[in-house]
Amino acid sequence: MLKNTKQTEPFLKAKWERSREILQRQDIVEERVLQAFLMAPREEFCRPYNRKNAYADAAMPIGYGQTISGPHMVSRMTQNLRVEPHHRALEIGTGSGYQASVLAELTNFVFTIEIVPELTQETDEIYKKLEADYPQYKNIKRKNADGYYGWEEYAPFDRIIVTAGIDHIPPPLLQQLTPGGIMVIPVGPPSGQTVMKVTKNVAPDGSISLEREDIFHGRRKVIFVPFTAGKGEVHSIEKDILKKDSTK
Amino acid sequence: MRIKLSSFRLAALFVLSVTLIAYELAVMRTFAVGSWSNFGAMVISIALLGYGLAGTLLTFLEARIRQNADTWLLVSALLLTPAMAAAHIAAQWVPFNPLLITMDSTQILWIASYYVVYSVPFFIGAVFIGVSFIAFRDKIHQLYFWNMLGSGIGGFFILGLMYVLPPDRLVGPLVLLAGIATYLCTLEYRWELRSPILNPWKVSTVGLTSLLAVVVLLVAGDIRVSDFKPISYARRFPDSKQVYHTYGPLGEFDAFQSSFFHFAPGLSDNASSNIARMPQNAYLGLYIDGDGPIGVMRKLKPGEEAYMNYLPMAAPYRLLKQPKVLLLRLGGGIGAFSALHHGAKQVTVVENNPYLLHMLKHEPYFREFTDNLLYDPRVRVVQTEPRAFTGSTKERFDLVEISLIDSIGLSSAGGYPITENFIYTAEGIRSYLSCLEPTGILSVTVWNRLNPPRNVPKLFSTIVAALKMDGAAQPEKQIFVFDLLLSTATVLVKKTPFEPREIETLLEFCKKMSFTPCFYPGKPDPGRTFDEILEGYDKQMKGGTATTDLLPEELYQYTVSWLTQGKERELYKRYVFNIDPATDDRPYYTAYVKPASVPLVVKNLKDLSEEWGYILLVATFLVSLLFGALIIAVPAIGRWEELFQHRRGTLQVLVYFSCLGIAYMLVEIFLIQKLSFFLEDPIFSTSVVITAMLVLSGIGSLMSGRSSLPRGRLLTLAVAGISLSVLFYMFLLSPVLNALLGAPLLVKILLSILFIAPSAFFLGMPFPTGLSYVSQKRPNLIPWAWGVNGCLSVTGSVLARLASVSFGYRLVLFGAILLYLLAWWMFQSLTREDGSKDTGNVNLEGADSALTT
Repeated sequence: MLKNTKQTEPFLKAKWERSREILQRQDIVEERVLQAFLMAPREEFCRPYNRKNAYADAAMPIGYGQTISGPHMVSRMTQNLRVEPHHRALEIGTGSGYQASVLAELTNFVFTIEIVPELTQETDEIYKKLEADYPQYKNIKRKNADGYYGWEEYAPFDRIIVTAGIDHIPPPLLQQLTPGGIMVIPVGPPSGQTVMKVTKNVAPDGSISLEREDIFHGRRKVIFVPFTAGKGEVHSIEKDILKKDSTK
Repeated sequence: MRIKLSSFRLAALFVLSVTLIAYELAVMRTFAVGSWSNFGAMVISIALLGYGLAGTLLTFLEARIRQNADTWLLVSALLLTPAMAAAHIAAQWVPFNPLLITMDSTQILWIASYYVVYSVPFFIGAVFIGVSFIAFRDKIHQLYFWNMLGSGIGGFFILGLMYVLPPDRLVGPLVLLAGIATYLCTLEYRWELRSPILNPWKVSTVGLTSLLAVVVLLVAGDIRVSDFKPISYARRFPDSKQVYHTYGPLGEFDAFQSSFFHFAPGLSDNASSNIARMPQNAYLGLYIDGDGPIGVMRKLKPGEEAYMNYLPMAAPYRLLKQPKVLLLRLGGGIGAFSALHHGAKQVTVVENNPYLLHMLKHEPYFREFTDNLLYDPRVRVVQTEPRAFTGSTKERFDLVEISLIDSIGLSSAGGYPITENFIYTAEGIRSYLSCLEPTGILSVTVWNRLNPPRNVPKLFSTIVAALKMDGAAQPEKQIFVFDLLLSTATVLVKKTPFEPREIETLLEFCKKMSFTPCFYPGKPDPGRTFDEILEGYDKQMKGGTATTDLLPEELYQYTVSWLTQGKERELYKRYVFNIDPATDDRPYYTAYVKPASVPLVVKNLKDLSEEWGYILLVATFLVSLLFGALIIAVPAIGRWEELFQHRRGTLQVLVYFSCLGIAYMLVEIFLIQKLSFFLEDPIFSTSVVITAMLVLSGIGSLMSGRSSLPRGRLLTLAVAGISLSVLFYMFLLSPVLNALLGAPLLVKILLSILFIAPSAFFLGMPFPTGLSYVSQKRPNLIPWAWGVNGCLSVTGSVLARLASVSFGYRLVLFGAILLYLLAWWMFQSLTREDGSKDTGNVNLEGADSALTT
């Protein structure tokens, strides 16, 4: 493994040990996701003052009031996304860039949006620095914008992962999610959110259902959303999606 | 060498006491603005710790102090000025981040470093006070009076400063005040010259030190706002523009304009399929002490308003046509806009925050942004506490709404701070129901994201308790509950049973919105039994895997059923969290941890991180106990025989002062907590209670000093007075406060002082009475007794809070009475040991004064 990576031995060791714990806690249950975790050099996305603790079971500050999520949280969220190689994955909240780097191990179509301009720039530089050793990072499209509205230019997305808390699921993101698509998003008041997985299902008759699931405790609930075609841009997106699906 | 207690020294003690208490409250404000307000509460324990440490130190130095008390007083006062400034500045550099507290153990070290940094000025100040007690031990009642008077006035002094200075600048004037105290220490009165003499060296040293401290504060005293405070995010939004800033005792208010603010709490997922576009630039973000944001909403255009139909607060409007609405709390105006959108003919908004109301009513920018919402002829604003209004109004409403105010004031650090909340108590709910027309509806929406659920079942038990208080025969027919998984839950309560057609309409609404009806009259039981559900959550709490299909709606349905079928005791006992109804005696809506479950919660704290507020309280209590034990034990090291075997009675002295330390704080903290609701804000109750308690206790001390009664009888009188006042608090204070809720704030402040007066007066007697007795019989124990009292006060302040949360106010007050009785017993035992015939205070002081002059 050492030969195939630029990572140093102490970090690889720490990562390996963390991966055992991740498997034990069932944050990751698929080999592909485990490989993605093992490939991504988390320490490169930590700030120098936190680098040595890169694989500790903790979120760590990266400046601008942001944190790099702990390895267990990143693993659990990634696992719940169930990303396939052909999937288009949108991330809202680039932050340190680590989550997108894990996604880049799973698909070549990663899109990520960050709200803080300075952080966008810092993370951009990290990716550029790593691109020589990790060419897959060239596939990560990045921009500085308000993630609430998604990225219409590249929509729809098979997978959406939101790493910033909000008090509701943004309708534009649900609209940009493909039928069968999965979104992982923390929802709640500013004081604290619960991370949930939302699966969007469209039946052949056009009826849409959403399934909400607590990614840590497994509670899930199917919600049927009445589909009213023909009104506004929402439905033009939905129609496009259905059209694309039917031509596959 | 005995020194004379001149009026300069008394004045110095007075000014220094003002300074210390004002500094304590200024530090609390600093915490609220810079990091998290619930950590500000630990300042009380830091201050008292400083007192305890000083007492311990002085125990060892007592003989030396007596020889050179003047120097000790001057040096400690001189050191206080730079120490206050340095502690304020140093604390700004502590990188504490409560967000990481459950993940990163070094955060505990940062909390400890706050203790180290801030305890220094309190320690120095306490040395000054302690030395005064040692040096002028024959004037203890007088000293205690000026100390108490100063401390009391300090509370009001800082409150006044908060109106005129921003939080960053509060410490500067206090440093100058410490300088004045030091200056007073340099003065000596020469009777032969009949004027004070000045020592130019001392005066210039004091002047320069104070000046330097103020300059350093001006340059480096800005409060460093944590990067993780919500306001810090708003400042970083690329298009963020600050549009408002003001400050006062109720907080620092900042409003930002940005297109990045999005609010739609509890929005139905169906909105995405039915709304073309969410309204853009619809909100301003309002931050209070950097926490929030509260979304201040603009007037939406007709096409944009559609999304309001997809919010849970739309539900009651399906049953009510052109209702007369009462909104409890304004928030950012979304409730008022929503009511108007749904055709309310009149909206009464009850909001007690004067800054929020001023901003929306008088600031041109906000008037324009909200399209003069508060001037809409259909909208009426009443500035008072919600319960003050509902408890006094004769008006009746079709709808009383409380929407998601449970998130306002919650810690941004991601947990539930344990604070009083009199909005969500059974008495509160009963008061709201009393404002309804016979067919009216109470609508309460709260967040619904905890697993195992806590706040929603607790809301049910509180509502059902209120209905039962009102004599509802079939409360289960008056409740309709729906939720959105991991989002919000809404409870609709009627004064009369829901009609079948109303249930149908609400079920139709839920279907259209994809909300889940959790409980309604006639809902069939879920397939699973309640035993299975309770066992599932029990297993989950104990670390087993959660049952994947354990849905809150099933729990909710059974919870309401059991509550209304008289099986509530069994439910409270069996459920994994404390879901007893919140009451005015135990107004802790966010306290869910059962004392017996603390080890389990600690073990699973990563999964139950919302509960760290309670755990922090338990941890603080244990730490304060440990400190208390150390403070008590250290002075005894190597002196066991001298203290306990050769001279009996030392144990009684220690127990006596320990009891006083704890019991005084039990009463004081109770009054602060209880009156926070009556006086509309904790800052007012804290200031009024601290000031009134200290000043009146000081007067009690002075009066007891002048009494010719023997000390034993004086103490009996004091304990009887305390017990009677506390019994009044236990059984009569709540109804009296409820009856007076509608009075103007100033009248309520005066009434509060009246309620505090009898207990505070008598509470001021036992400490100086005991201390003056000790000074006569065992002078070497004075600093130890004083230190033990200070340190056990820390324990008392935390214990008061912990016991209130866990068992209710009555038990706390009962404990206070027991402790005072124990103290009384100890004193009687002590006087028996000494076999003394007590002469009383006046005679003694007179004799001592004669000796010193």
